[in-house]
Amino acid sequence: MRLSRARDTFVSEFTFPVDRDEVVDRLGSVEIEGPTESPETVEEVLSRTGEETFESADDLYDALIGSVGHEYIGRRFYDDRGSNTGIDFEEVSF
Amino acid sequence: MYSSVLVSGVPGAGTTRVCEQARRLLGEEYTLLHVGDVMLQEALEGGIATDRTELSQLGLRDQRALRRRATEQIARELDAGPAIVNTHFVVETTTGYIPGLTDESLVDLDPAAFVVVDASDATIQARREESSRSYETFTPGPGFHRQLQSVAAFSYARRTGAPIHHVRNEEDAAADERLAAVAEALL
Repeated sequence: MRLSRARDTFVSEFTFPVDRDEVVDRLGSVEIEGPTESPETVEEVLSRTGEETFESADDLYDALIGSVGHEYIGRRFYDDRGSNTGIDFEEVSF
Repeated sequence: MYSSVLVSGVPGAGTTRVCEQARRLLGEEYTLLHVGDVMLQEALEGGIATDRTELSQLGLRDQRALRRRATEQIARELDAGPAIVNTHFVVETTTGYIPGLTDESLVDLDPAAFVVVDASDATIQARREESSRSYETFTPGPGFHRQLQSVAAFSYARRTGAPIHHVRNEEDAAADERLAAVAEALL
């Protein structure tokens, strides 16, 4: 599961508020895809949160995002001189 | 490639809840995507932000570029099925209001309809005050933002030919059913 698809999965699977145990029961083994060769499971990520209950899909999504391992946080675009997104700004228009 | 319904509401209008409830009313072939989630994923993987607060504090051109990259990714997701795409037609930044969608984004997303989730200024202000989320970064009083959002929706509709639906999200409005009905027309 990509992080960007997590909210759709949460909304489809759960009625909120939902306990962490129920999330782990149903989605715990799902791997979170990302820029890593060893993806973590939902259970592994949520084990790092102190939350026992998630009031909304927002809360659950934020808990997941806030607890993914450092290997998910890349430096793909990092540049200490200006824009960090790796896209030529001249290509971006409104 | 399937079509999308692009949904926007000013912060506090209840757009996220309406999108989620509408998604539950629709079949499994539909997907709910949030441009903000995809931007955050891109920012996380790029090592330039780790949460929404850091994302909102990025410079204007980083935000623009991430938004463009996010819409490109969402366009690829539309190969799998139709989607409700929760976005912002107008984004309030620390340096002012900016359009949420570029010409390129509109081409990528090929929207079948635009939906503006709306409520009165008083309702929006009350929801902001009752929410556990922080709205400190937004200008108190959503009136001007709502006006800009309507103008932006019309501008996007003019460019794409897709219609605009106004979905009132007050207590008695069944906003989720109205959004679901718009999305059902995608198939």
